[in-house]
Amino acid sequence: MISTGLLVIVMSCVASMVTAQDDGSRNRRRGSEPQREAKPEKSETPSKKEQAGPITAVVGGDIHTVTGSMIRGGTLLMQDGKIIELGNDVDVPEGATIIDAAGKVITPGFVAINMSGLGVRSAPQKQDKLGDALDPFDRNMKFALGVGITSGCVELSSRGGRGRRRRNGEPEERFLGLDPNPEEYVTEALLDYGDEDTSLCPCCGLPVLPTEPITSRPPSQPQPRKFSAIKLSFGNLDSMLLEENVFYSPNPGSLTGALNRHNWRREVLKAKKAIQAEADKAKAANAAKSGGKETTASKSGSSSSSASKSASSSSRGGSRVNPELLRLLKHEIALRISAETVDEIKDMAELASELDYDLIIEGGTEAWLVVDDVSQSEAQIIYTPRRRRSARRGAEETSGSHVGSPGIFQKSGIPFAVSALSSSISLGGLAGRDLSSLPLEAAFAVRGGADEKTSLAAITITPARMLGLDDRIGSIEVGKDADILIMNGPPLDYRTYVEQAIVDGKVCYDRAKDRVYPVFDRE
Amino acid sequence: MNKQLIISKSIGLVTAIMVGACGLTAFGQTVAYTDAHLMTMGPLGQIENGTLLVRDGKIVDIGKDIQIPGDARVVSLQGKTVMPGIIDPYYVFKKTQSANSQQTFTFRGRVFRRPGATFSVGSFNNVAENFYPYDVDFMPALRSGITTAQLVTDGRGLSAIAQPVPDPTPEMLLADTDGFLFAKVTNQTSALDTIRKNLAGESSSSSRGKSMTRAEMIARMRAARRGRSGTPPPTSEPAKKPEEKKAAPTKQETDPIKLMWKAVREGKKPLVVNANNAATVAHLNKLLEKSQDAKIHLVATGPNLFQSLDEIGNSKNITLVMQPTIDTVPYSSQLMNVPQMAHSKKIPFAISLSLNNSQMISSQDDPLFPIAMLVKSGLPRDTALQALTTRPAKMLGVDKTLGSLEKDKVANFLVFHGDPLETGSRLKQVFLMGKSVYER
Repeated sequence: MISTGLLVIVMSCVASMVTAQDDGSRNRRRGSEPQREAKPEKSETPSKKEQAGPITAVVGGDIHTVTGSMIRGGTLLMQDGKIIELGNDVDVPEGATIIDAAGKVITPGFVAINMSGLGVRSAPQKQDKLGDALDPFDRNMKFALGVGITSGCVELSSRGGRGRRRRNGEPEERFLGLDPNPEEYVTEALLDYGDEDTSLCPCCGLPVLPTEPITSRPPSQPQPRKFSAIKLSFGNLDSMLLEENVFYSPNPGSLTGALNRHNWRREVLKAKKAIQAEADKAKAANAAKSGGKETTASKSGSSSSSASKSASSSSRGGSRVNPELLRLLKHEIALRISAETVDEIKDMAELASELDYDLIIEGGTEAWLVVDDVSQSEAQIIYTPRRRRSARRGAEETSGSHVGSPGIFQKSGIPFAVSALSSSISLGGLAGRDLSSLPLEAAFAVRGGADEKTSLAAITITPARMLGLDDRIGSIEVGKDADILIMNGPPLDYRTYVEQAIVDGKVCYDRAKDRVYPVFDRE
Repeated sequence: MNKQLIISKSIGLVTAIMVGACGLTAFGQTVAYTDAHLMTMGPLGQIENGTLLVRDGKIVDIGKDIQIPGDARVVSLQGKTVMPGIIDPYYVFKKTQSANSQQTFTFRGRVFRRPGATFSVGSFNNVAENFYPYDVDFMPALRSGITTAQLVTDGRGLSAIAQPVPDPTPEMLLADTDGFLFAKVTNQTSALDTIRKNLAGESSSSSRGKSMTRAEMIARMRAARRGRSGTPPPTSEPAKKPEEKKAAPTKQETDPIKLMWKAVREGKKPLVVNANNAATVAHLNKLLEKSQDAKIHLVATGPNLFQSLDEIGNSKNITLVMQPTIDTVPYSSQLMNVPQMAHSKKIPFAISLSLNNSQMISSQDDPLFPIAMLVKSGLPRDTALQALTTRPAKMLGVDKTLGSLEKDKVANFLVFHGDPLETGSRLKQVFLMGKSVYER
């Protein structure tokens, strides 16, 4: 376990070093690749050990695999929450539970890139962990499962407006005997503002009155929004949390303007230095291991100590590098930021190319006008086909939204994920233009010129790739999580209902039983 | 706790004397309750036309053909039914300031979800120490036949076991039993940590440095700074730390709360947990997988429990405390009898009448009517009655003296006009330690 972990770290370090050396070739998410290579080994060992899990077979359906070709009348075997076999001539083993899907359509569970108020009741406070706030019995999950959403990305940072948000520097609520030493923040406070009743004046002997700091505080760093991926495994708490902090997402506007960009560049540079130092350290350690002891030991010792010094200096106080930023620059996560207009999109694309990180543009209403810039920076787009933005006066041809955007994206090879008009389930799914219209939104991408396969990918594998979870969700492949939907029609047809949603091999939604959506057509 | 009791005893001297005087009137006097239908809840089972001999607040003898001493006062309970006093394992007597967020609760069978505010664990409340007898009005409890109750607050702390005598006296608390650790939790890190960290045995010392308020801390920092005349405080911190370290081991041994937690970890004492919503129940189940020995008394409403009943059944260390209500399946109009479901899954459970306070108060004419509803809809009668008497007695560790009508046990019993579970059968009289404390 530990050794493989080390291996991954070393490999990712090596990978990042390589990227630092040759800038010409870019392939995305290098950091996650070694992990992906390591994973099959891990998944093999438990399946060899356990062997015990019951097998469920879904038989006779037309399987949209999304990443591969369609399998008509195929069979799909699931065991221990994973897909173990797939194809037309698969034998159903004895004793397997059989779900008859003859005449039905099978797709991977949909991935909602924008989700809120599902599975997590309220945004966890600063010290609260997402894992503890999960609610596996949340009713809204049934509504989402009912339209086929089996996993997605929830935003957890409360973006103001709720009134209860703590301001920076305000003391946190402390719990008797639970929290680590609270003296830390008190010291800080005193250091910052000086002692209030300092002393007497050395000249006149009068007490020096406490003064407030006159200089205003410098603008605070952009606080990244927090996104985490969860699985809607209703009633099953263990498998709900997929991954925390799946994006690096600064607030919109925090990367625009000269000062902000300057700060951002400086921040990135600092983080890159930290990565470099880390890599040097690893290199030195390697050299110390392999090379002659006497000669290199002193050198490597000094270099490693200097590296650790730099690391510790970088981790001290205000000059600390955000670990999420490090992950961003190692291509483990992408930067997700909202950009709507031509200028915004161009700026973001330029910055991403210059500083070398993965970019996901949220919104992208005018992206169809700057397709070249976007594809050059290899950015991805989170797009809502039904969202409109009217053109500026006098620039009717070169501004505003365009119905044909999805088609244009597809033609230019820009990967796009479809998000619904709203991220939450409103009025128990009755309001229509909410998260429950996600498949319909994908159908509007078809209307906008994208083909059906791409549009289905836009709510399955593309968002999964954005989340860095394409090794687990987003398509039907052997070895992936058994998150599948059994539908009574084509996936992007508005008349289609999800009959069963299977998450991690368990039926988490059954249309006939759950009665979330109407069941009038079955007598 | 005992010290405190002694003090409060001396303070309430007048009341103590009064109680003493009351006791004297019955002292030595044997009372024979004859011709009653005795539901002993013990090994004797049901006794028709039985006799119950009571002296000095204790049951001297019980049975069908018992020699009644010549000097005994004979009270005929012809046609009446006698059962042991009800033991309430979770009697919330004081709402604390702690706001518990994300609550789901049931009212008239419907599930409501209250979003709630930020969770605050609230202060640790030692019920026995903070108990002020005049605070509590036990009359509703007595009218419902509750003769023993575990007192808890809405937050967390150490419970106490009380006898709800009508006139407030310090004697209300059973002195010979320690309370249990209890906590109300919701599915937030801060709330779950109150249990998780203590179950894991992590350092959660209530040592001085940690229980200080911010103001105290600043004051201390200033003092340290003045002493060092302007040098930055971080240097003064290491000087403090050894002190704490020195103090810590001695404190760990003596701190009663820590010892209680240790007992909980080792499974010697149960922990009473009130789970605020269905998600919390799931989280608790997950949490208990790690600490195998800890025994939990899980307090929750039916709708919050029913989705996790399988998991609860798998773990052998959970005893449920439930409301006597027929609930609806969340987001549906289907009715369900969660106590019966728990019984069929072989999960041990007790029923707390006071948990659904409005129901308890509204059905005081026949306090067991809600139980009768459960029995009518499938819960075995014996299980239901045990859940009110013997089970909670065992849970509270008072089963040697309370919970059933047996020889040498305390004479806490209820007299009903007829079968307690029959509609219209009223609670006639409540006896506490052999004395009639309530009569309608």
